[in-house]
Amino acid sequence: MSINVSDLVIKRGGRTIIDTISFRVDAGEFLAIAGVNGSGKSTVLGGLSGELPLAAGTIKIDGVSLFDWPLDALATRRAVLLQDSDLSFPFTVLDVVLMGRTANNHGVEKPRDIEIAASALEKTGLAGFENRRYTNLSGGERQRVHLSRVLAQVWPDEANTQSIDQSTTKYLFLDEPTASQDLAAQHMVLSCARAFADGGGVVVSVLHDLNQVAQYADRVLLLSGAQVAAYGVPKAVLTPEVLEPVYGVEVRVLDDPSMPYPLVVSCRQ
Amino acid sequence: MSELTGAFDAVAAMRRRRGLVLSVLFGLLLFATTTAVSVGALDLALGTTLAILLEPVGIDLPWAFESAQSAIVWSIRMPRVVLGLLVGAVLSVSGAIMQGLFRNPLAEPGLIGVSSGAALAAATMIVLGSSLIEQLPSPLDQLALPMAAFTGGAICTYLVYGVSLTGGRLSVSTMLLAGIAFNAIGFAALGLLQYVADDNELRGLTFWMLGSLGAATWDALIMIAPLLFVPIIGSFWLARPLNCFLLGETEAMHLGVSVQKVNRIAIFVVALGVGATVAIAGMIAFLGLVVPHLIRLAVSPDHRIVLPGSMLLGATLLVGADAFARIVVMPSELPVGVVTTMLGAPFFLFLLIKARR
Repeated sequence: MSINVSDLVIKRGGRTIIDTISFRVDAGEFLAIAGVNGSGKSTVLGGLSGELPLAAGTIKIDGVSLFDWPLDALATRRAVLLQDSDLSFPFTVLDVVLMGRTANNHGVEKPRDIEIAASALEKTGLAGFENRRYTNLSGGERQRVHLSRVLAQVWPDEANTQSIDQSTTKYLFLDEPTASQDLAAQHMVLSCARAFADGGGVVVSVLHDLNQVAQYADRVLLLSGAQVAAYGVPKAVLTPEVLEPVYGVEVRVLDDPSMPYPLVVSCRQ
Repeated sequence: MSELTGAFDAVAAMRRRRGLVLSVLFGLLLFATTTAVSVGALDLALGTTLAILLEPVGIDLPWAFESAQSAIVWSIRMPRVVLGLLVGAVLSVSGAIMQGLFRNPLAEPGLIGVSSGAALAAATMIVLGSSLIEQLPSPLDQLALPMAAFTGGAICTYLVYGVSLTGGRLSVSTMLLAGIAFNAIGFAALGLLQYVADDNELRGLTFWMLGSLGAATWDALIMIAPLLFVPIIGSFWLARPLNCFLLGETEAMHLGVSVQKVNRIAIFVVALGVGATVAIAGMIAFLGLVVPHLIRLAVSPDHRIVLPGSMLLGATLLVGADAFARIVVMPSELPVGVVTTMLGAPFFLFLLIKARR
């Protein structure tokens, strides 16, 4: 199934942050949202997540308007990783990840929830962290605990692990998931997202690093001045002709024959 | 598969620990109840007390007792102890609910204005409305003060709530600040009333401001208990959403929690429960702030243990503090709020220092 966004307008404090944008993401796809600071990347994600009221336009998930979805039903299908989730109470890492299963188990953990939580921690490189206190972890580790939590929230249903079942597509929205990660962890995080899409899910992620976009995304929505500057496969969008007017810096796009994706390099002014 | 066994072990260990802590707390509660019933102007042996308490359910214990002892236990001490159990449970669980709702470990049950509103209404009746109360027919004259207190608490909470609504949505951060402002107004007005009150009225005011379980009778309990059970029962429904709230309101929404509904229900149950405690026992300080912390430090910040654990521990501590307040300066008694603060605050400091090391 899919997300359909048409003619989306979002205003904040009277200012138009998103001005009439439309796009569509299908099951199995990873959409990256990129653009200059203040171009409305996080606002689009906030709109998709139902956090912000829409001034105009529609967002449909599986053909149903976002605001017609019951919260708990939506929570078993769609998870959101915010830029900074602050938790000041000393839960164990496992407790935090199990919170992701809340909508699925109504507060009583079943063995399957624990299995999922442990597997989610393993995927983000946090196996063995189950009993550590969340409040004692580093910023990058905390962010990966939250990634495990959202992965656990939209973990494939048991009957659905083999094929792309049209009726239970799961959605993962990520806001700059690599921001506080080291090089290796950045790839681990994005590989999790890529694997989620390859398993039949939908990923929408705000990404700053255009090389990460080139390497992991199926499509990229490039925003500039509240509007869509370009929308398409990374190879088509990541060109000097498109990027230079948006970012206002000189950009080289290099093709290394040993790699299947372009390298984007910005140049000193 | 070692990660899996590790995770299963961790969950099993936490469940065992929760069960153990709740059992220990329940044991302590039974012990505190029996002890509190035994002590007073006329001391009873624990066995005698047990025999008196268990006689109505048909259990005969080998300790003999006189009917006068039985009368003291059933008509004087038990209502007071039962009130202590309920008030302690309500204040502590309400504190835990507020700390979860505001994601702030310094929140306490009175934060939404309910205690200061209730105390102010009661104080106004005492100082300015005493002639009015005297004209009321019985039993209205007895009920006037608690009813005024409860109404005052409800009105003040409603005002704080109203100020914090923007566009139909409740902003908890605004509510935190609005609560502080309304509490400041309430306490200033209380101070003013103290200033104009005569000696007799001042003694009445002290009861509301420092708290006392001395007003306990079975009749009063029957009227107030239904209100006190509201937060006790509501807490079972609130545990799961409050855990999600600790991540933040937006995250809670994404996890499927209806944030506005949880906000309203939490504030409603706390206002009803705490309003009722102030109406019958005045403002008992510190219990609602400190008890949830003790459970968190001892077990986990998970509300599925913090809420029931706070209830049991709060009930135990208030009954214990009240027994202490009754016997330490016999035949007079201390205001129980003084005891909860004087014993609770240093112990809390000790725990804080120990936890930081």
